[in-house]
Amino acid sequence: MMSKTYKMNKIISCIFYLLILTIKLARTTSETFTEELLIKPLYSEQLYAHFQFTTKWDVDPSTENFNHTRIFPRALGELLKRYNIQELHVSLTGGLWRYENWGYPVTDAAPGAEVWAWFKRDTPDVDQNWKRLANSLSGLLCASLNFVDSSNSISPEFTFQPRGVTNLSSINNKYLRYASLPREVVCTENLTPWKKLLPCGSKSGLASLLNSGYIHNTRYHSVALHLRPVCRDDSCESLALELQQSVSLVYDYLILGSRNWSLRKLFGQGVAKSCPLASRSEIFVDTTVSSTHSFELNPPPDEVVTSIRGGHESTFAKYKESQSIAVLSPPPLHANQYLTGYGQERGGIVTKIFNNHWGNLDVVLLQNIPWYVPVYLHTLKVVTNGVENNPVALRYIPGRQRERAYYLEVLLKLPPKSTTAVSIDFDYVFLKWQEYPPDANHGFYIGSAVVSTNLPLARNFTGLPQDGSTLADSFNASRSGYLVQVRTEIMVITLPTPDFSMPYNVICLACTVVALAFGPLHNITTRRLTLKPKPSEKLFVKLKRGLTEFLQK
Amino acid sequence: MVHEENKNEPKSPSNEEDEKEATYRIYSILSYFVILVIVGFPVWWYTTRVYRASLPINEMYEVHLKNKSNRDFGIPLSLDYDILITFVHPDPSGLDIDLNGGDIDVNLQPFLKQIAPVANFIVKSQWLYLTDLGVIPKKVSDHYALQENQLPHVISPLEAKMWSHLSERPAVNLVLYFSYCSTPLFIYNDRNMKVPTNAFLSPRWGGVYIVNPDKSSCETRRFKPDLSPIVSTFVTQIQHLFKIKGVKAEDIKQFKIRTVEEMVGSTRRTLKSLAQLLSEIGSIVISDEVGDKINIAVDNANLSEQFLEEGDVDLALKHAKIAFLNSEGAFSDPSLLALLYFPHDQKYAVYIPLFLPIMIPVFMSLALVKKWYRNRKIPKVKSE
Repeated sequence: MMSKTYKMNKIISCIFYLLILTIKLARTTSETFTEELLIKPLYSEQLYAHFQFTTKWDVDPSTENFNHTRIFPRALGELLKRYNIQELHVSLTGGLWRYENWGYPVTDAAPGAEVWAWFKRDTPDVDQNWKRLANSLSGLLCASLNFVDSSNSISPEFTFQPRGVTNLSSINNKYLRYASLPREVVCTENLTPWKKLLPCGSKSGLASLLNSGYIHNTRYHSVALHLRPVCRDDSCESLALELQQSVSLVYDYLILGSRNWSLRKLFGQGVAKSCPLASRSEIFVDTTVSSTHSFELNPPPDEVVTSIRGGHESTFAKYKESQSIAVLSPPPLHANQYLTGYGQERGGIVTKIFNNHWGNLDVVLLQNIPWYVPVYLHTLKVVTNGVENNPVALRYIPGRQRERAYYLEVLLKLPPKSTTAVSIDFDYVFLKWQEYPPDANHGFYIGSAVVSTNLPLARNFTGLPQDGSTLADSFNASRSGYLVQVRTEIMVITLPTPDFSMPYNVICLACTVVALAFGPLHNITTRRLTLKPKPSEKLFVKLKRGLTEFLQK
Repeated sequence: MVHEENKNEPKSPSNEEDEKEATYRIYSILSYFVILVIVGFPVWWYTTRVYRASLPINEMYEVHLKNKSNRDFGIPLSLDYDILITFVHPDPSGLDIDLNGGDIDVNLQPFLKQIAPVANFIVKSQWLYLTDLGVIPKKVSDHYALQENQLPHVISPLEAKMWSHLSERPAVNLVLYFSYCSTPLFIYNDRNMKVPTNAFLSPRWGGVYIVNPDKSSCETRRFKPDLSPIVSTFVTQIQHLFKIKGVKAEDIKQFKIRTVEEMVGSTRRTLKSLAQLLSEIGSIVISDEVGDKINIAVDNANLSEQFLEEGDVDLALKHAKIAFLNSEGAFSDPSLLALLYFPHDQKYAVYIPLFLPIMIPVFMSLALVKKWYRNRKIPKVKSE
């Protein structure tokens, strides 16, 4: 009897163990991590370096609870779960990308800090989640993103469509929030926690090249984080979660010292070890000068090679001084933004969009204007090559003081080879004295405008395709259109600054007036007034008498 | 030119009109005094005071608290915890480890369900690659030894990479360290004997358990660790961290009773320190919501103690949790410090230039009232 129950128990425990085993096998989902570096000499005296770290996790983002993570950073999983996020894009940038001279970057970013996020359909209070997300991100990346709240966030309708997989029939921009903080700077403090999100950290692999002493010595440096759901494979029957972390740098040969560059000169060291968790780890050097889609193997290096374990062979070469002169052709679309007007009463914002393409281009212009710059929609004027141009569509939500920013989105049709100026007027306002920053005369920032279009040609374009995750996906990736987003400069306006000593002045003046009014009134009502004959004396005698009387008392 | 009455020559009023005028003057002096000092001053004080809702301050003060000693130092008190399991794998290229955090979660659930009434436990796991223990072990024959005095230095380098501050709840950290294939690692206590469990814990932070891959796994470069020693070590570590003696019902009941006493003690300590702060710093605001929370905390603490004396542990635990939650919420409410940068001196500095020039003549004219009163008495005496 005993042996029978014992056997049954053993069978049951075997089945249980098998059950756990199958559950275990079903639970292991695959994660891939790839790291890439693109080095591209630009037409002018600059060198463009772009790091791309991509983590792809085959898990359904809508049902995953992110309790157990391996390569994917747990910190971002916590944020996704807690705030019900579908897509998240954060970028911290120092410097301005010069489109006219440098073409288009792989990923574009506005100067300062830029955050935008799509929340899931079932989020009850998007504004509260957005504010808390901004606070969590500011703690995660050590940046002052906590200044983002509903008074400087907008929900654009056309410009920031979801970049990842989404249910197309129900895009409602109520679940999108976009904010930009042009005043922020990016430095080592932001790079260090950003590097901790990588699986290999900064110990091995391409991330070991990110030394802040060298990286921040550039004309343009941008650190970005993009999180979105993607298709797991070509059939797109199930979803995956993709995290792209990128660093974009533009080095100046003048700062480097010479036109000969090497990894050691750019980043302070060569690549020491390879990252064992990366399935692919490559360095691409763009050797073409006129077109962008053909990549060749590098010429044999004339310096010590560090080969990186992984799929393709990757080497880096030290370039000798180039003898050829490159012909600069500006990109098809770029834009500038500046202030007009004089005095402290009225002013204007002008956005100039240049279309260098031989055909028409449909563009969307997004202006994100803070609440302390009240613009007037009736002064909006679009002028192309001297002729007035009516916008195809217009979206405008006026701002409210201290509550909401001004949101303006204009759809324009640009004729070929033209310059379009979009201008709008505003008033200068007085702010309350507590709303001025510590250095009040520095001025207030207005964020950059975003111009988006679908380019038919891919000249000077190194961006990733919509369905691609890595730089390797962008090679030979011809599509019908290439989404390009161009950002303009940021602007600084000096609002009329009050005299900060006024509270003290008011107290002094008010108290003096009250004392002067009260004194005589009190005297008249409480003293008996009598007439006293005034002796006619000389002034000197009068003074002497007064003095002796005073001394006697 | 208007001259004041000559005070040195007391003149008796020459006619009735003069005397009537004198009485009107006295009335007006007195009315100034009444309006400004007796009515105005309290109104000003009341309208510029720091708002404080009504609180049972005496009850918050007069509590008997147990002295906290260093031995009571442990995992901070909370209503829910994150059990964060971190797998530290220093050599992913040399060894492939087949272990899933979800399995450990499933196997920990039976024990966690038993202590679920006390707090809510959520199990999370993450992997840290290419991270070493921060200390250099000593070679002993065929393996390496970590001495007991090196153990405290292991925790800080690990803590910097674990993102344990990111969760909303206090984290109990359980670290599982897989040593290098070439250097099996064992912990030696201060009597130079190998510790059989190969694990240690820090009472405030969590525990560390070192697993050495066996030789055959090292050769095939694929290691599948056995789940049962891992799970049992973690369960033992959680028991030690929360000072639970065992898994029997009696031990769980002891744990609940101790948690109730600690929560009630913490509530009372928090409220007493809040009362002390209120008496010392004048610019702390107590809004109505915070006042409600404090009242709820006081009432529930008393109820919980009462239920504990009666022996009803579960009800006592429920009330103790409410009291703890409300006392922590009241103490850390940001509205308390809304007026911190407006201390009382600033208030006086703004109002003194307004009131001082007004009050000086009012008080000085009171002397006139006294003189008039004496003058009225003298003629009366004279007339009698």
